[in-house]
Amino acid sequence: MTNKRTRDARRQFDAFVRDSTSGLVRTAYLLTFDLAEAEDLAQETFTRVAARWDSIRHMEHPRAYARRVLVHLVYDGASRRARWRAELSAATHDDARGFEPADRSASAPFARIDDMTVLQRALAALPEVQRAVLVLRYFEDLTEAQIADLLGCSPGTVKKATWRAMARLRDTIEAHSTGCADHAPATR
Amino acid sequence: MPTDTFETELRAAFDDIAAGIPDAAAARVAEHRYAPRSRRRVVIPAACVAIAVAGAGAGALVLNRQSSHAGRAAHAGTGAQAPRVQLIAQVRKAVAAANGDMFHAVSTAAGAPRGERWASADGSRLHIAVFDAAGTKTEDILYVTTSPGHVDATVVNDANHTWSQESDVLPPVPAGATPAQGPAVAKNVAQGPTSAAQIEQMLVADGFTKTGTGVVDGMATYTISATLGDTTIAIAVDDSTNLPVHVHIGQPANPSIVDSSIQWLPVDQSLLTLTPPAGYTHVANADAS
Repeated sequence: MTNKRTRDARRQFDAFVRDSTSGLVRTAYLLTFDLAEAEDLAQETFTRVAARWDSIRHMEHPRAYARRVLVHLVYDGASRRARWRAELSAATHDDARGFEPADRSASAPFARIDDMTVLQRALAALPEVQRAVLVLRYFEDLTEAQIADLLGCSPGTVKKATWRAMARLRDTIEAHSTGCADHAPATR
Repeated sequence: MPTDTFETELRAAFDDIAAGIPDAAAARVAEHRYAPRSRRRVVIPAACVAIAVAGAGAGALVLNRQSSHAGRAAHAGTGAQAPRVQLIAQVRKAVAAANGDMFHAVSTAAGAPRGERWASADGSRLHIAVFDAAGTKTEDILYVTTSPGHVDATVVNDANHTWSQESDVLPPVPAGATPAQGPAVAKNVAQGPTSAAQIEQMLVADGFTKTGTGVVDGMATYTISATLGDTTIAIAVDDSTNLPVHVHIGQPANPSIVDSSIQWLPVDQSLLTLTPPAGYTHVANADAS
């Protein structure tokens, strides 16, 4: 009986790893922009999931649990933790000062993003928290409330971090676009 | 550009980046042998002894974290793993450096036969010898990982002069295991760490900290420990080489479940192969336990 249960659990876990590895590595990479670290983080995530697989396998969404483990692993790196807290703290202070992100209109005109590489580079250059909220929002399709729950902060903080990240991206792209226009060859 | 459009571009950018990640990265992660645990992974010592005496296989603890870091191995010199305690990092570095050596461990546990094992650097070949209370070898088992999750075993039973070959047995689980989790053979033996790779992974995962100093076999050592539930793992590390030389696993009710002495030896391929002695009878299952 126990043998059968263990074999079933093993099979389920193997299937889970097979089905979710690619997504997990991708998310890890987008969070860190370091492929080696992404692989390590994904492996560590599966190791931790394996340790609790008997409980996790009965969950409705085991992958969501794995994603939570992954995000916490990223967050738990000591240097990251310090940076993340500083960034979250900064967002909180903005709250206290009555900072209103809406003073920069969300519908402000942007340069057209013709060169995705510029956007990719801009994403890589974002502070980790800002990139994380974008990854979780636009790659993992989580809601602000879900992201807040994952990161252990308020939805308002997530909203502001998202706004800041978007603003920074737009600035970078606009600056790049302007620079290109200034230096564009006459024959272009 | 309207926000909606920008968000669409953003999603596309993420997808493009993700699509550029080589499949090999995920393959490396998926290849590793993870060991999903069942609820009964920790068996109380009394139960271990009872099970062992009953001949149904000893169970104790599961330390089945195998494999080295996929990313580090594949991208040596790139990126940075999350910082960890410097001391533990030293031990991991020493273990990784010694990974070219053969891992040798002798484990004892109350109520279970003594086990001696030799492993290749990556743990893919593992030779276990089982000894009875009088010190006579009763069984030899060689596990060979043929592909991720698939392990073949050759069993030589010296007690009744038989041998068998089994395919796709469950991977050997270190530090003892419930019969269900452990290998299909050699259940009834004291099991400790099985390879350098496994120790390295254990150091990564279990939050070890320095807890003291001591002397093991005349060597000055320091001890690093971690607690998993009510189980404590203490590793004595050679002060001069930073290599683990002894692993002790205990619980409050039974402070000495498994003790393993570890050596780091030059590779001896003869210990990582197993040829049944002439005259032994081939049977379907030579497992003595």
